[in-house]
Amino acid sequence: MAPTLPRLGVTLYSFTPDFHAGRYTFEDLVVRAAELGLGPGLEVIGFQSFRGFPHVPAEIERRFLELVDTHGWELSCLDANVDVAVRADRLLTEDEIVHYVGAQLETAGRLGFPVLRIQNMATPRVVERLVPRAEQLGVKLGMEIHAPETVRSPWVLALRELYERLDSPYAGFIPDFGASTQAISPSVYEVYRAKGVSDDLLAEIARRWDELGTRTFEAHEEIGSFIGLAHSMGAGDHAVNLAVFAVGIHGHQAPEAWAEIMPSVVHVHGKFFDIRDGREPVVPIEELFRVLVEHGYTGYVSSEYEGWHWNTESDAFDMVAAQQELCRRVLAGLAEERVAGEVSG
Amino acid sequence: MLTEQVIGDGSLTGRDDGFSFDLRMPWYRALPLSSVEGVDVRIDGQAVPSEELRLSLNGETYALSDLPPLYDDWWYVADPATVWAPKSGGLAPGQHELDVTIALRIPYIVESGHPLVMRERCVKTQTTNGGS
Repeated sequence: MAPTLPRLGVTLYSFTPDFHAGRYTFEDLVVRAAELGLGPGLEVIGFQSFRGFPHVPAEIERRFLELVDTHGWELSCLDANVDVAVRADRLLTEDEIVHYVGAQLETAGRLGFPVLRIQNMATPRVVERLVPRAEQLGVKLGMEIHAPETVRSPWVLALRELYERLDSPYAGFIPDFGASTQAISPSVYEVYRAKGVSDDLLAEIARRWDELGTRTFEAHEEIGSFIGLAHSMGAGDHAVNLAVFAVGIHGHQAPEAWAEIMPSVVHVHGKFFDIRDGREPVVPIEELFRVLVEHGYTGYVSSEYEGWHWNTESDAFDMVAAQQELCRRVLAGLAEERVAGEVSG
Repeated sequence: MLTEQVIGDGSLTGRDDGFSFDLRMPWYRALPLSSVEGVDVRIDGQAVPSEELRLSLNGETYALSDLPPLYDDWWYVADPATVWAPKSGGLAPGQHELDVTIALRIPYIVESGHPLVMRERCVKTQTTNGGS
């Protein structure tokens, strides 16, 4: 029997520039992505897609769910934001954060999303307080682990401890493939070289990125140090973006490391930056899927194209289609291996 | 992020006491108005005092100093705000260089108690709309 595999899908975040520029409305994106066969899993960011979120008017909700139904989408994940700094005068208290994220959890439940993505500003105590309601609603809380964080980051270790104690299927993690890259995407270098950034600086950024992979570090400190480097080598207005792209979205974690938390994985962000000749130049898609398949993960992998930060030429829909073609090829290969393994074993 | 749209294309409108233009949020999602930490506007190289700027959104008009307490009033990501800037003598019809920097506090990125503040600058040369 063919093994059960992860399911593919897309997050509409992949099409942010098209949406932001007004080329597509939210509803247009839902339709277009379906026409291109980028499902079945549909992930949306609440505060991006729904005006008035977390309050979604009944009429908008009805039209959205009708589109989902008509186009054969399966809701995979609603992305919440843990906005602890909405107030200008102070950070929210724990009670306020529970209330703020709780409202988004209610919306996920009402719309029928099986997972709510949460972010690391939610402390273990906040997560623990949200779990009972998540269980009632049947919505799993998924803490995103995004570059440069790893399964061993102190705050992740604290959550792993909590999850062990709670032993609830409604408290889990969302790995982001961008935490496991092999280098900074070559398209970053190409774009910034074309903008006039010197080869010397780009080579130094590459060298320092490799060096970061050999030790633990604090993201904001390293972003600061990369900004300083870029400024000192004449990057001018490009310094901040270069630093954020290098340190903040290209992580160093080995793909196999995700195995440590696989039993708690409730959703996956299939982050990628580019597809060339049928390959992702820096995201080891096959190794990452291998970990998922070996641990029997059958949830969604949302394709999340993020090369648009610097690549303003490529079509995001084409990119996602090409990445999913690669994912399907990889999954077919892994399925064959498993069938062969079962026969011989 | 998404800097190109900060100044709405074709939105610069001259009047005999100032000018207006559309301001978009250089971020991928809605943020509360309390997240706007600053807006700097220069027209043809000349700075407009920030306290004189007025920002209209969702049917309300605000001075920048009105915004910090408004953490429950949302700026939807697809909506332009209209910025009004007074200028003595008005803005003559024709081409002008508009230079806008907006600072946004990103409410879920906080390091050691300090939220990240993103600054995005957009410069566009536009020909004024008719105006009155």
